[in-house]
Amino acid sequence: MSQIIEIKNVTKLYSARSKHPVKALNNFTLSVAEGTVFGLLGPNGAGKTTLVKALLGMISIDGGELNILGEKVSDISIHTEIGYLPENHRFPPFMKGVDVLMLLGSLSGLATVELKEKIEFYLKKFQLESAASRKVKTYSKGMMQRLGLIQAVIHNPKVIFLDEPTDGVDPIGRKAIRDFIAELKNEGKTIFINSHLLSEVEMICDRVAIMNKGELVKSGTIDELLHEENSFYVNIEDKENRVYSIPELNEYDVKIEKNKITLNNGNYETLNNLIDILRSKGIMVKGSGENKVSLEEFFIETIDDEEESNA
Amino acid sequence: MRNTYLISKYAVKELSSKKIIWFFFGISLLVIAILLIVFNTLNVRDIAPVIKFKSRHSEVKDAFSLAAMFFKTAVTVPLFGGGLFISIFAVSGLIPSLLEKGTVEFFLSRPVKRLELLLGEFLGGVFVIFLNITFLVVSTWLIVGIYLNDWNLNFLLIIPLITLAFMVFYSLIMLMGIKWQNSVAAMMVAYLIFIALSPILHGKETIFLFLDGAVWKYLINGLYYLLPQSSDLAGITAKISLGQSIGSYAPIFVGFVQTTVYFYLGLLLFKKKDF
Ligand SMILES: Nc1ncnc2c1ncn2[C@@H]1O[C@H](COP(=O)(O)OP(=O)(O)OP(=O)(O)O)[C@@H](O)[C@H]1O
Ligand SMILES: [Mg+2]
Repeated sequence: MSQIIEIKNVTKLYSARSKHPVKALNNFTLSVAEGTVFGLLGPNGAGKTTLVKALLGMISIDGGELNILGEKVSDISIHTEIGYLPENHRFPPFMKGVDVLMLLGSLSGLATVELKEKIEFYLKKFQLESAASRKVKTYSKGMMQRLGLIQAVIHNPKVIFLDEPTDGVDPIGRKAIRDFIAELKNEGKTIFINSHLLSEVEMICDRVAIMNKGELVKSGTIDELLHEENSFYVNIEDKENRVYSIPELNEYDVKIEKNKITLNNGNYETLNNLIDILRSKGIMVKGSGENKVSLEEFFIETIDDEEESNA
Repeated sequence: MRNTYLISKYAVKELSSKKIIWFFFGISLLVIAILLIVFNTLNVRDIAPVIKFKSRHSEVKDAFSLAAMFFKTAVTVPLFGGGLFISIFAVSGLIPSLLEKGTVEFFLSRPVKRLELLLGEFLGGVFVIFLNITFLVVSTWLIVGIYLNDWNLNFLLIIPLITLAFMVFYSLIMLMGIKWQNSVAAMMVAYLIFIALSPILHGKETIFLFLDGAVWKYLINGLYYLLPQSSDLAGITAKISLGQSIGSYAPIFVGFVQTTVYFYLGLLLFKKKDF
């Protein structure tokens, strides 16, 4: 798979000539392969939005190189292949929803006939048909967000940047957005998401990167990052608490909880041995596998470690 | 081209969503109504002596052309003052609202050049104001023509002239809007020039009587060419309405140069800006 987004040693200083320049990106390097759903995580002010805006040519950079689809991002003709949902966006309040889509779709180069069909399709898909003829200023937050999502994909772009796509959306709407992102992925699109909703990122992203203070801290697939090394669990049914009186278990590094055994410093072989012992004592094994941390735990730990090592 | 057209349509839409533009149009309708009432109730020969004060201009002879002159001037001079005043108010918010955080991203993320964005906003604004001016001037010309049989085509030059005066201010307002992203600040500066500085600089020869010295001369002449020369353009408007010759074309030429320069500076600033 080729790298569709390439970020090489990018540095960005805001207010470079003032007394208090802000280093929003510091020698940042990252690439994203075609067809990936990529999640960029980081605390407030980490530089996520700055990075995306730099990729869209909206801000100048003070060093490094940015390419999308093999082209320099200063070449705005690649924008026909890029969709973007800005964070905290604000549609011109005097416009109707359908007019917003007509304008933005036309600016992306779509011909009127095709555009009208697409608008109809997406309005229906996102249940905005009746609202579309109303002024945008009458929309609820969730409706705005759906309209924002439509304008990001209406021109069938190859790469889609979504900055906080589920911000202010109710759980049902969030699920719909997740499903939609999965659909886009199936169509082979590359999706780059900035988000604070880690449980959601965990559900939809193939790869994530964590950044802090303008620097890349960690990146990898969700599986790589979240699996805990050599740690396994065994779920059991043990009504009579027999598990506490098995001396053989003392040979393993185990932690016993109600209906759950955690095996540390193990491997698949020791896990199997452990299960054999449990079975031989007549304890029902209901499930087993590798332990994983949640993305949230991982994120907080990573950022804490980072801050400590910098302190 | 298509992008510029689309953005200009957007600017037209934004302007027509503002009450102030309809207020402008409403005032124009009112003026036309008053003209019609006046011409339908008064006999022009009765009022001609009242406006005799113009008669020292030798080329003006009969009561009809006197009356025509009077009515034209009575429309165009307030149009220049009031119309421009309203227009400045109406367009000063266009650029700040386009550049607003959360909105500008929708435009910049598309294959649209920053030049196209600015040009579209400029042309859209000019188009709306041009329409308003044209509506009032052409209506006045028709009414005066029908009732007083004065069909002097020169009068229609008022349209491009006031439009030019507007273009100078609008391009300056755009420049300030990009710099400060604040519609009130841009509007205030424009009014300051329109109401105070330009009239003062228009009379610079008089100032030189009091403020002698090369430095003052440089300074005042410099300001005169840097800032919109709205009073000079107003003078030309009045002359055209009175059927006189334009005299100096310099303010017209300066107006075009200033519009270009303000616009270009705005574009340079816009291109460098982070959003
Ligand atoms: N236009 C600007 N001028 C000066 N500083 C800015 C500007 N935009 C962002 N910054 C600063 O750059 C840093 C990164 O901001 P950015 O918006 O990229 O963070 P973020 O990761 O998107 O945060 P959040 O999660 O809150 O959206 C912050 O310190 C911010 O204050
Ligand atoms: Mg952000």
